Amino acid sequence: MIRIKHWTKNPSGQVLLATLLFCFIFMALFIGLYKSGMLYNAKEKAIRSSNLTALSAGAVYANGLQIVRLTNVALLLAAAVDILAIAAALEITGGFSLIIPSKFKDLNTRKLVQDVQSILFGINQPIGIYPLLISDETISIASQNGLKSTFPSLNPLSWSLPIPPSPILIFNVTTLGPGLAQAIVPNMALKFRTANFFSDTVPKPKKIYKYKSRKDGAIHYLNSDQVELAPNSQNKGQMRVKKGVGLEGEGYFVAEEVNAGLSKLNAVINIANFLAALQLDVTDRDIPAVHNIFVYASYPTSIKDPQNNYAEIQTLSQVNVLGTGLAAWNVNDPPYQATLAPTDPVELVKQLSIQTLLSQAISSIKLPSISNIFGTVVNGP
Amino acid sequence: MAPKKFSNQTGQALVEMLLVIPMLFLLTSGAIQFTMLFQARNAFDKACGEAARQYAANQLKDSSAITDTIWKDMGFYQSYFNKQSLSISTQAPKATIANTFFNAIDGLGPLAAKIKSYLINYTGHAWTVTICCRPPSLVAVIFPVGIPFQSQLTILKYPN
Repeated sequence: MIRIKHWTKNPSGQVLLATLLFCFIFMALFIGLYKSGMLYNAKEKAIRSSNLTALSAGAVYANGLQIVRLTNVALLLAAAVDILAIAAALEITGGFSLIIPSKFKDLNTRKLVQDVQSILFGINQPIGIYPLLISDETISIASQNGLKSTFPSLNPLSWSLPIPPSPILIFNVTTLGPGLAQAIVPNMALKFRTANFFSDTVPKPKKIYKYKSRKDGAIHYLNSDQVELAPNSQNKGQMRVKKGVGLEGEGYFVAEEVNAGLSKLNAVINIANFLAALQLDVTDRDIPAVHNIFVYASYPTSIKDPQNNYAEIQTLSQVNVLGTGLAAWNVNDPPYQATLAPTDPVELVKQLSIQTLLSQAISSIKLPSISNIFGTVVNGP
Repeated sequence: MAPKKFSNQTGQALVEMLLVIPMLFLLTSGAIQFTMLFQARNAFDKACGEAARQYAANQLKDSSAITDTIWKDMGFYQSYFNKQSLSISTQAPKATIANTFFNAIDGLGPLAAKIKSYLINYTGHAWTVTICCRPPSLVAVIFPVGIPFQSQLTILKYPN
């Protein structure tokens, strides 16, 4: 010890000590520089990988929307075949059978096409074949771009819990909230257009009420503006002639005329329900049309954090799929295009707090199943 | 006769500084060059990502357009690289469940294959882009042909 103390007072010893100190400082500087550079590089790679994965998902999605257009053309042809068959049947049975739909000689080939559309695109189904294809391709591209993938094979048993699925795809959502559970299930935001958008042109039947005069026995007819509700213990929907407006027979109980005017036809045909049940072609679910995919993924790095775990960079990318429409007459329009939404993926992750929700799901006492993780994400922390 | 010890220490600090300054200079310049290599690597990765994005948007058609775009997007950092060393190798993306199904359709006959190609009109490539970075003079001996950088990207685009 005395020798070391004597040596440190020696000029050469002091020089050596100073050199060692500087080497230590520079080594720390270099290591810090290297790690920060690697992390910055990893962040840029994560953003790039996430963007490319989202673009790939958008490409498959756009292809699917073009297939929707083609199936709508097939539906139009099937409807034409059905109409021809109905026209031929009318000539045989007579034109009056037009009033009663059940007597149509309807081949119903359009229903076959609609069933195919329903299964293929997941309309009115829990999930569709093409949305699964979008997920499949996107997850494959994500792993090839260096993003973490916990879908190594088709066998769900090989996935190790409690790691949540990665990447997570969020379909067709503009604001997160109660719709998140629906958005996590692969979908294409489609629905069947129904004919009830015509219903505004169908004159709505007005209710007609009548009462019999006590003076002369004449039957008086009133419309719904001239009667008011007068419930009693026997009939909670009892109507009476409005009081205080100067009508003859005010206060008289009235009965509804069910077979008056257009209501008679409506009772037979029930136009509104018929139109609502009549499915036409496939159209966008939302107005205005929204077709987008968020890709939420992790990019693993080789840098260890203070907890001695390999750091992962969370990233989120959004792609919008834009086009002119899905109807059959849009089939020759320019195809749908996927465009990257200009956002900062790392900031979006913070805003959406997805990482917090997933971390809470993982750190909960019970090992969560995949559905529980999604439930936590839906219901919030 | 006993050797005379040099007891005058005037100028010792100056001598020490003269010894240390080249070392400091080497260390500092090494740090600067290291940082510039990182930036060059980053610029290369960004240029590759931008080219892939343009490819997905159907703005680029073939490999030559892609290499030209990557070289142009590197901008200021072009002087760090050797343009002749820029090369791209393309492969098909890894097979997915869908690919297995589509390959089965191809086996049904030419008509089925044609219908499939009409309906499934997206395509993809897995790129491996390689370029050599001119080494700093300090490490030129270790990397005589340059420091190889490689970037791997996979992307799908629609329509084909």
